[in-house]
Amino acid sequence: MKYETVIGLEIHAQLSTRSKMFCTCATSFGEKPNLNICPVCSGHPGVLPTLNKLAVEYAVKTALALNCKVNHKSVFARKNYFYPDLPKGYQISQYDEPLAVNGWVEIVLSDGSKKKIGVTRVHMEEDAGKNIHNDKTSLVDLNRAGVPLVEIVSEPDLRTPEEASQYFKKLKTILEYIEVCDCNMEEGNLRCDANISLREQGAKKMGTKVEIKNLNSFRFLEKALSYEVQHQEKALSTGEKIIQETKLFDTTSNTTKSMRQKEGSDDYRYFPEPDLIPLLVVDALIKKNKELLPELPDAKRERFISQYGLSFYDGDILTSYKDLADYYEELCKLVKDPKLCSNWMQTEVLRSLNENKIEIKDFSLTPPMLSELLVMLKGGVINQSTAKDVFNEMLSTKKSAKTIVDKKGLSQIQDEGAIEKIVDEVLAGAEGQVKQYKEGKTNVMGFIVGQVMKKSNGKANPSIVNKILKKKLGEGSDL
Amino acid sequence: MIVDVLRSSIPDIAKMLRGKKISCRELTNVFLKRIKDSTKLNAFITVMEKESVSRSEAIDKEGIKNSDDILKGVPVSLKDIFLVEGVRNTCASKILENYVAPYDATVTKRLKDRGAVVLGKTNMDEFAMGSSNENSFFGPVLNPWDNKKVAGGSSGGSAVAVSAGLSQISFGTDTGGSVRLPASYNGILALRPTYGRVSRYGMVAFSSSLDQAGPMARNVDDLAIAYDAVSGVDHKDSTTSKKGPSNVYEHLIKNMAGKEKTFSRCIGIPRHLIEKGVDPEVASSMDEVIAALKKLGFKFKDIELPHAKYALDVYYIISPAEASSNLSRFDGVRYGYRSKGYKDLDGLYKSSRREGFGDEVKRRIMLGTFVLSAGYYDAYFAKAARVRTLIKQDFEKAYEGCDVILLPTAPTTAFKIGEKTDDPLTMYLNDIFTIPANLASLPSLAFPSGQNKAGMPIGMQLTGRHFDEETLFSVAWMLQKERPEWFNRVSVK
Amino acid sequence: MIIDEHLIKKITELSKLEMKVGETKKISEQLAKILEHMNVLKEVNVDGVEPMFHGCIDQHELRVDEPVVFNSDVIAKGFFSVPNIMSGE
Repeated sequence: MKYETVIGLEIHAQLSTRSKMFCTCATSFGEKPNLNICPVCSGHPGVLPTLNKLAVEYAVKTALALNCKVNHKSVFARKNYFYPDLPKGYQISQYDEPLAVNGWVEIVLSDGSKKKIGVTRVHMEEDAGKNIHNDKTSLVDLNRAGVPLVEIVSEPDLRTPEEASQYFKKLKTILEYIEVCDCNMEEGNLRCDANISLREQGAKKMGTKVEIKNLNSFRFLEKALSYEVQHQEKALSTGEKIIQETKLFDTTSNTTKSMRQKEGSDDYRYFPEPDLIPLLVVDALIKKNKELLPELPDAKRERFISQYGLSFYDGDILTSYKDLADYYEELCKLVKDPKLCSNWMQTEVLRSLNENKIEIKDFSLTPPMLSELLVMLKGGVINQSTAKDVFNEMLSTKKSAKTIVDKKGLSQIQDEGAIEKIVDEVLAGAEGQVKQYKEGKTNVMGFIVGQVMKKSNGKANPSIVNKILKKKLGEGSDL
Repeated sequence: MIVDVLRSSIPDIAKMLRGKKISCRELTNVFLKRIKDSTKLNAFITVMEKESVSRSEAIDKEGIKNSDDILKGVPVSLKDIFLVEGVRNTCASKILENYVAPYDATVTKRLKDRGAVVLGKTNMDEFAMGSSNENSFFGPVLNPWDNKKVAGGSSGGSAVAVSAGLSQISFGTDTGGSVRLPASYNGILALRPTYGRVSRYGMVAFSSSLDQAGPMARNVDDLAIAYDAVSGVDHKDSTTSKKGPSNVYEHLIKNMAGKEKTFSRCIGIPRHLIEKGVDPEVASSMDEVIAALKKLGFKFKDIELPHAKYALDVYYIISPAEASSNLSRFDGVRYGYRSKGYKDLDGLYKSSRREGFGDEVKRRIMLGTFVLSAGYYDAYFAKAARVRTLIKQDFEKAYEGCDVILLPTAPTTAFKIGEKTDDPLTMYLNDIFTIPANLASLPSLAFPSGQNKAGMPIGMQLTGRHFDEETLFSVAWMLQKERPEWFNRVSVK
Repeated sequence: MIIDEHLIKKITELSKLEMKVGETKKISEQLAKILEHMNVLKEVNVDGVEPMFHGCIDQHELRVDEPVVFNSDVIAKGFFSVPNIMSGE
């Protein structure tokens, strides 16, 4: 029996506004507990919510970036349940009439194929507080309660854990591009719940859905889904029924475990929020936010591929962050060699960012500074290995490329005569290797070239060295 | 001196204060003493003696200029549902018995800004749920005209504070008639403004789409001044209307005083609603009111409100539903009563709420939870919301042919304490005349129209178009001129 | 409308109220009577009628995104503490 996996993702993204969704408290992360609270977000008697204008604009931007239709009228609703991190005993969300519907996102799979994933809806809601559990008690911190969220619900169009992960990644990139969310998953800015079910290949009806909550890394998402698929396939093949339940991913055992739930506890008794009037979003606002959208990741990638002659892979990497893409483009303008810039971005620059755990915006070399180095490399003033050394020195000393090259006299030796002199010296002392080379052991050339570079303190222009060696060794003449 | 004060309207008092005939401190003491002498009426839950004395002394020190707000130095009381920062706010419930408000309600702030002196927090039905003020954790409020009878609810304490001369004016809340009904049982006036005219910020929510704050007073001038003092858009309450503060008092003295003869409107009477179930003495009082209005030149029209007969059911679906959600925050976790006998989190919630809430509140929470629950939402809550629209449309149609609708406030006068507490449904029936206006978000003004043979006050109500409080006040103003003996009554004992 | 024990249990669970054994009968009867009265709404035709969920729908200017400090000491000093959420039935 072959089974088809059906996956849908619900992603919650915290909007990077300065104040909360329904009150004027600050949204900053990591403060001491219950510092950023007021009577409104801590559910005191008599309080009323007031909607954050910027949160609405960010939510509209999100909907537009996901190709959704933004509804002119949407209605807030109360989702009622008891939990210590939910101070009012209900969450203000949207239910029947969400902000936006019917969008889509394109993902690219490892085999290069593209797939459109439907976005069912985008709606606004408020975040809950945080619970910390210790031995006998749970401690409740409401700093996060009331932070604005958008919830993005996908159609159940995902068929593999990889697709799910790609979709989540794409959403993160888009949200980061449009600057509505900090997308820091460790801080909980971006959270993911998955719904997964299996059905027989070719069947129309959906299998029983299992929900897996709090999958907050791409790795865990894939692992959890892979495990669940295996687990359900095994169960179904032995005739076992799948029960509808909510699970969590246990990162130590790499398995999904059931969350025990009370009967009927999912009857949230949604009804329209009487304290908030229906939200009217006019065409002018939609148009304004549409115009404010930057070039989105897919479009930028395609443009990079055609404009800069990059491969899909290179284009994808360079557009994975908007800041990175912007940096690359600025660099290209100055260096005028897209391939060279692409190589250096993907090797030296990204390596440095990863090592130092910083983002491109905090990178100490600006495009003009890096371009000076790359122009020297391109012009043959320095060679590749020198360039790498200068790069590292620029990072540690913060000096300019020109300053370092001049000071250390690192300019490449371009003079053929000078190089020929060095080659002759090396060949004179490497009779054995020359003999081997002439006998057919061509890989000995590497050793000889190495010697030339060593003798020239790494400054000989490698292509001139090769040209000269070929002339001398290829001739077959006696040295 | 005391009797002078009690027979005075706010403009009279303002004159006395400015003319230094009485100091603010003396004035405040008059009321504080009366409160002390009337504790058996149980009208107050918290008397703010220290605060009001120091406030009045500060005002005396500042002095009151002619140009100062007319409310400066005037003692007021607030239903124990309007938060006053630093003061206990109980909503007449054990679950908030020791809760101290961390901020001021907008109503409170606006009164304080104008220089009013807050004497205390008045008794009420628990979380505003009730029509007799017998549902209070702090005991029932007694009717000053007959201590064996109910004060009416849910703003019973506020009504008694006004009718027994324990404060100049008071503010209550009206969700299904809760300022109008006790006003009529007490022989005073009350206004339920158009929904959205007065901010609900800091007013503990019972039924959010129906609640409105309402002033209560012994005469039309005071009522208008009180209303003007608190009305107007509030950015902290998204459900307020965009209109600025009202100016009814100015309208009355500029456009009505002396020009009564030129004022005429059409009064609509929904006879089909009153045909049965109205006390004969209430019915004949209504006839007296009609006669007085006729004499004043008003015209009359019989109107129909075909869906008003469903109003009670619609109300008792919508309001408990909203309340069941609004009261979920009272869970013993962050403030308020927390039970001592619990083993786990679930137990904490259940014990605290079980011990903290009274029976009527629990009953309505359960009813509200039911009508919102899966499988019942469409047939009950959503259906009721649609019938609510029909009720609203009935009024809109009626107002094509009339300007103001006249109805008794209640089918009876104040009943005996304990008479209706056995059967919730019987109690709910007190609200049949007041509820329709709430559902349609309309303004309604209750005024006293005499007493029955036993001396118990009878009251009528005028319901107007959206945002047309001005017309209601104008009609009341004229009635006050025509039948002054109905107004300014204080049960001085 | 039959308000049986099962329904009462479900409602009290959702609303975190607790009924002692003797109380469920009384509340069932009271609620049944109230809901019986409400059956009259069945006869009302609401085809094409929009529901009314709000008292006033005047559009307001939305709040500008500007944080304001509230003296949170009045509300909490550190964490709120409850029995461990994970334990218990």
